[in-house]
Amino acid sequence: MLGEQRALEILKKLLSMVEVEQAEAVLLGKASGLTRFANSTIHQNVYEKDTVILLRVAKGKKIGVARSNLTDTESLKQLARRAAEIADSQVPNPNFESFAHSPRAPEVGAFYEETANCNPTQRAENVKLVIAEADKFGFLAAGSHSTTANEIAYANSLGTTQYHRHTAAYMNTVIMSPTSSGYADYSSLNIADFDARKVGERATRICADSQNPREIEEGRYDVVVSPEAVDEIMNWLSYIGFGAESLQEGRSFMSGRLGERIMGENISIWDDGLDPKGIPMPFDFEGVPKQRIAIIERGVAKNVTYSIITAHKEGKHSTGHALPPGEEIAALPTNVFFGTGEHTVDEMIASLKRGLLVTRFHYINGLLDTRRALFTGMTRDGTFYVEDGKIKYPVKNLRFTDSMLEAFSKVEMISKEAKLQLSSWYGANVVPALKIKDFNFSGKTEF
Amino acid sequence: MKDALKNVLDKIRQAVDYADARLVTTRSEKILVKNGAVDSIADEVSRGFGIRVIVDGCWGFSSSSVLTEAEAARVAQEAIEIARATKLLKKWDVVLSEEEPKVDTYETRIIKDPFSVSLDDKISILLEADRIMRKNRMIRVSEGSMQFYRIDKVFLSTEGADIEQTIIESGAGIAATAIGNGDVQKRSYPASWGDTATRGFEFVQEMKLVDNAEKTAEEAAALLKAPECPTGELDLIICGSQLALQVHESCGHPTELDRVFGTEASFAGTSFLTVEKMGNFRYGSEHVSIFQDATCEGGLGTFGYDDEGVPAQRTPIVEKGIFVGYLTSRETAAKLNRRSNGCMRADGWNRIPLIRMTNINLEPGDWELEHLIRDTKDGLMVDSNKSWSIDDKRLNFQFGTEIAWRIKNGKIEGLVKNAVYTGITPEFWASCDAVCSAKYWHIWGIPSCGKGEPMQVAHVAHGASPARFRKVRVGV
Repeated sequence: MLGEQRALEILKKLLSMVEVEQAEAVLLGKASGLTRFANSTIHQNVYEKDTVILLRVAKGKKIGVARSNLTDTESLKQLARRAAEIADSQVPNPNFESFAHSPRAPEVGAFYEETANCNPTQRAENVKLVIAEADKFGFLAAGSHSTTANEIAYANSLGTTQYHRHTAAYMNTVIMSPTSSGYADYSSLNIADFDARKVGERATRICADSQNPREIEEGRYDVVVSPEAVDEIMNWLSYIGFGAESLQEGRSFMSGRLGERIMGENISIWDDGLDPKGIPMPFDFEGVPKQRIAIIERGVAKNVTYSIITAHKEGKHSTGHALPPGEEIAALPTNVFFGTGEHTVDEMIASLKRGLLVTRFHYINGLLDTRRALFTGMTRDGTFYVEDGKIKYPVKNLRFTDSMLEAFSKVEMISKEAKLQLSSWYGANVVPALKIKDFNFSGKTEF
Repeated sequence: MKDALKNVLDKIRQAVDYADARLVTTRSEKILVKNGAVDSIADEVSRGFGIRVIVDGCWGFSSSSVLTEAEAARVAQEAIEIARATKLLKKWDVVLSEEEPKVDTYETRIIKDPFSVSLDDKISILLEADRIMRKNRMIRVSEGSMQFYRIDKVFLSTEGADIEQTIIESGAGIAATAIGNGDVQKRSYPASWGDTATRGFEFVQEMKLVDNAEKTAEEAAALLKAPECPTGELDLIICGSQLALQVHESCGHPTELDRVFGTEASFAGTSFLTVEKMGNFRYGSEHVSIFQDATCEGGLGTFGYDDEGVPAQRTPIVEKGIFVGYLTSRETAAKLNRRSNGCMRADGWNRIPLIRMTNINLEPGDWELEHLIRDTKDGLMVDSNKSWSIDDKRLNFQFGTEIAWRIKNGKIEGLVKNAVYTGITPEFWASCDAVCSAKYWHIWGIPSCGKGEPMQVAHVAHGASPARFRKVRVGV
């Protein structure tokens, strides 16, 4: 990690090499170790360290972007030249007025030395605890355990500067028997919060309980969906609907429906970059401080997230949710919270007359019909049939195909606990378990 | 830097069972045009090296973007320390299959270097295609993209391998989205991911994006008025680009031998094609033959050597319907007492190689497409992927396509929209009764195949021509 002073020095040096009206530069530093295990042994153990610099220059309304991980003086000069050349080839962007002229974003503590300094031996010791749980039943453990330190520095020619650093520790595991599997994961800013044994214990228990699953017919079932499974849905809802572009282009389930009830009254979803219960990030990749944005409020579509350019299209200001320049999508929420309810998961299962408990979804795809948020996906790693409030037996995996607007209009219970789920892309979701009525399962598989 | 890495490998030779080093520089250029404007042009350079070691039978890997011999020595030592941590949970020694260390060079054969073509020339093609698509008043979003890669990589090993490769990739595509009456319909050309190849700018020129823009927009607009895909069992003709993804998901991934051995279990999943099935399991009908072929000219999965220094090869996966082979690495091949068929590929200098697809190609048959349609009484012809999902053993799949045509009594009756089909992999491929000829065969590049933790994106390809599958479940 370079630290704030050194990172901003590099960016200011780069900006001094650029001879254009405006320029902004972002430095992304990362040091990450990852230990992967399968068949109850470590099979991959890696470390990476990199610093990437993104430069965006504006010649009038013509914008050029260049990116490099070479930080010596000559390479920075080349980066500046290349971005300027690209801007020369551009056509003017009518929606560009200026880069950010922003105040310093509030600081939010998200960096833990324990995580940043975690070594492969410590990760191996945590993995050992997971494997020990699987060993108790003669099962095999697979999974990954990572510890990462990130820093992001921002500077532009208008004098805006920002700096933030955070850590993340993550573990997932699938415990496998000859006829079943069980999943658990855990994310935290601080590795000291980790209880790897608990992660292994939960996955092992699901694996043990889901042995010898029975086939069950496809159809509509009331379901209790774990936070891990809700997280998969939330990632797709964000991707197809919570950014400004899909709304503006009319492709999204939010398009033309702001102010309208599109989900149940008990559903509220918001983004809050400052909330330390997620993976906080106080500003975006355009240096704009993040606003807390209500996306769905008591079922009503309220807002989407904006970058500078997407906001200008509607005469608005950026909400501070720009992704790095050059990404497919301009703006997305990255610290998403789903409003909790007042039930325990056990109470939710106990309320099922005839239904399913889903512990994980797999390979969801949300592109079937984005206006309806029609999704498909599979259950995975432990699905159970529940009758009269009792888990009766494990079932073979099922495919669901359903509109998430309809599903989220039929949420009968929400857990009072929410769980942090680290995104493999940017940020995180903090989501509860849900009980959904009449969820549509359209197919089944052989295991 | 290559000499520095050689020196470091020499110095650690006594301390390791095996080590290799990869020095990689990737330059990319991505252009996106949207709704008549250049949305973004991004140029990226990433350079660094990774050192992979086996110490006492255990893997370790570390990497850095600081290109000095001192840093290489530090990274090598770090990799050794990581391998020692791996040893804490060691169950068996890593053994690599035999491989003669090669000293060689390889370079993609191209006619026109894409990085020598001006940005203005590239942008003008995309803007013109975009302008034509937007002439259709139903089109709300018009898009075009180009992307070019140049990857220079050096592979060195303590066994004596010394391989330098330059891989060049060029790709492009356009898409039109029509919106009306609460409906959204998109058409892409030449496929929903465009198309990409290990070729020069000539590949993009041959696509004729501008010439195909009007038809792309017309089809998107026409889909708004088309009836919904029927529900039931129909005979299905799957056109090339969609069939490429079908091969990718239902044959490519389940034949990755690391998946089969469980090393992707917690993330991407495992595979139904377990080792006892090799050589005797009926994967599909006699019309189904599939090869992995990293040697075919221009394929996006074409190279000289994989990232373990194993030469590119053409090996059978499915022969006349029987499952006969996997995609392998030196470590996994050794477990089957075989040699690697060269499928280890890494997404850059800071990633270890994993087993990845190369070009996984469905062999052409002998049908004319026209005859196949005429021979189909009650069917659907589908093309261009819209959605994809498959279970974690690669059995139950569901695909949606951008476009479909209803076939009745040997004739195309018209478009249908929101086509979806589903099945179980071996049952589905067993229902294949016809594959079109080499005249229709094309290698479709897929530049977005995800696998592994940390996530790695591989550039792969699939050769396919249209094929027919009997009694497939369609509709939701």
